[in-house]
Amino acid sequence: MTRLWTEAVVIEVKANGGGQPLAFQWVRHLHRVTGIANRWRVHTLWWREEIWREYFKVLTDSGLLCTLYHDLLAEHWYLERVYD
Amino acid sequence: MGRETSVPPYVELHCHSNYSLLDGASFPEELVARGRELGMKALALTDHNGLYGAVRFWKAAQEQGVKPIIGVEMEVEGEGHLVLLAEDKGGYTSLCRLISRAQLAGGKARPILPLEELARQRKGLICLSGCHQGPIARRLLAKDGSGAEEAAGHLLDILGQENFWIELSRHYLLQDRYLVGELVKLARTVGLGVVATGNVHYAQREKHRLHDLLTCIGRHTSLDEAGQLLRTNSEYYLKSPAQMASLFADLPQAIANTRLIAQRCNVELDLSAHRLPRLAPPSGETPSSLLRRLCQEGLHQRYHPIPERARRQLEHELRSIEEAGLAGYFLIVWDILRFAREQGIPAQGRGSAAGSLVVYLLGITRVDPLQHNLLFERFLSPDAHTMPDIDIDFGHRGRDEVIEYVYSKYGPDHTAMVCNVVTYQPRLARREVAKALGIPTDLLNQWLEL
Repeated sequence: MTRLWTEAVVIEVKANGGGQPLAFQWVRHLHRVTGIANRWRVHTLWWREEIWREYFKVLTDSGLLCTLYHDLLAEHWYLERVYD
Repeated sequence: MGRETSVPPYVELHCHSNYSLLDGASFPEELVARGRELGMKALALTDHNGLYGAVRFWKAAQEQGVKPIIGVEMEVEGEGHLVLLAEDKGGYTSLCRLISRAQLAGGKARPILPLEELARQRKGLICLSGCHQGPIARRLLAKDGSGAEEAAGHLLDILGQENFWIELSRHYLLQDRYLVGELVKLARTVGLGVVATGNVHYAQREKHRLHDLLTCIGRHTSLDEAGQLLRTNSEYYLKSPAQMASLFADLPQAIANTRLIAQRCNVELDLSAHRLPRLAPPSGETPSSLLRRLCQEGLHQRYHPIPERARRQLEHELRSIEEAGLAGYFLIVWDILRFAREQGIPAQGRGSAAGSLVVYLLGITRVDPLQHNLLFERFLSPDAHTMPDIDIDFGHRGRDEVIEYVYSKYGPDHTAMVCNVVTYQPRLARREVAKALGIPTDLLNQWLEL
């Protein structure tokens, strides 16, 4: 089971120079990224409402496996999915 | 430290120009210019099933000081895409022959190369295992590991270890991690080298929009309807050596091997040389002696008495033709015209060829160049290193018959229809783009009338 937010949750992320998340703040806790399980990009719908995102499936020191994405147009980070 | 040593040794070996029709979104010149800007010492062009862009690419690369590598991405029967790079002149010949075989074996606009042809004509070729549609990657993506290994083994047997490489691409796709991992494992198992490529389809990221539009135009659909026909992202642009080195930081050998392969590829295109098909003259005659005899016959038929000026001019032209090695060419044109006239098909030479007495005496044109003071040198000049051409008009009804004759006499492997690369004019381009954008027809018509 996973929790998927149709409206992803805005989060604060600390990232390295290569754009990879190192840690993020969610529900008043700091979650440190301990591993990146996958990384992919989506760039589409430019003819309507452009989407350009970089996704990360990450493991955290708090035991979470979740999907974050970086909106490369708005420069915001979102939490999209948490795997139970 | 100079810039020279700071640039990682990456050379792009898989790159499509807009001669990958309705797939590549950049001109060969743009790709070369961008490659140079990014610090690449060499760059390959590997369009789909053809070398249409090779000469433009080669010239642009020469001008801009980038080493050109000539290649093709071939559709191989039952296998999918393979990238073939020409290592030397023999490799370029192999590419040309394989493309011809694929065109003859496939349907219209769908060339397909039987694998046994590659086995027969592999001299001077370096093969990369191709994109997701390559024989190995597509099996791995279908979770058919043993099939992938078998395909790799088979290609290894055909091409040899030095000439067959496992191609790795990373475009930030969901499946990249799995696929690259499996390809690396397979390469180790089978004993093959790995090489990184960008499978480039446009020079700069911004052109991904044009690429999407071209996909829609090619598939007769709109952006909204295209769905999975469109690529997931905009990562198929020409990346810098530094970007590629960073993408493959865990596999530095895959980057280093691009330079190794690039160093092996050395093709010089000689754009001044002509190789004409041969017309076999009757025994005991050479093309030159046959041409001389036919001209002498023509001289006696057309002039009574023969003026000294005509004899001098004929000798001058025949010498020029012999020196240029073009006697066979004139005989072929004469032969085709002779056939047409024997069949009662109206046929007439035209253009600058009318300046040649030889052409007149062979009956190709009907205008006496001496009477009208026409200049032979306009047609064939010893100083111009270009091939002369004789344009002939045939009566519409007999044209197909003439084409059939040429194919049967000179052979389908020595005969080809001249190919045009059709390009979009602005009005049609606007219409096609508007359709892809899903603009309603009535609105589109109003727009086009503006």
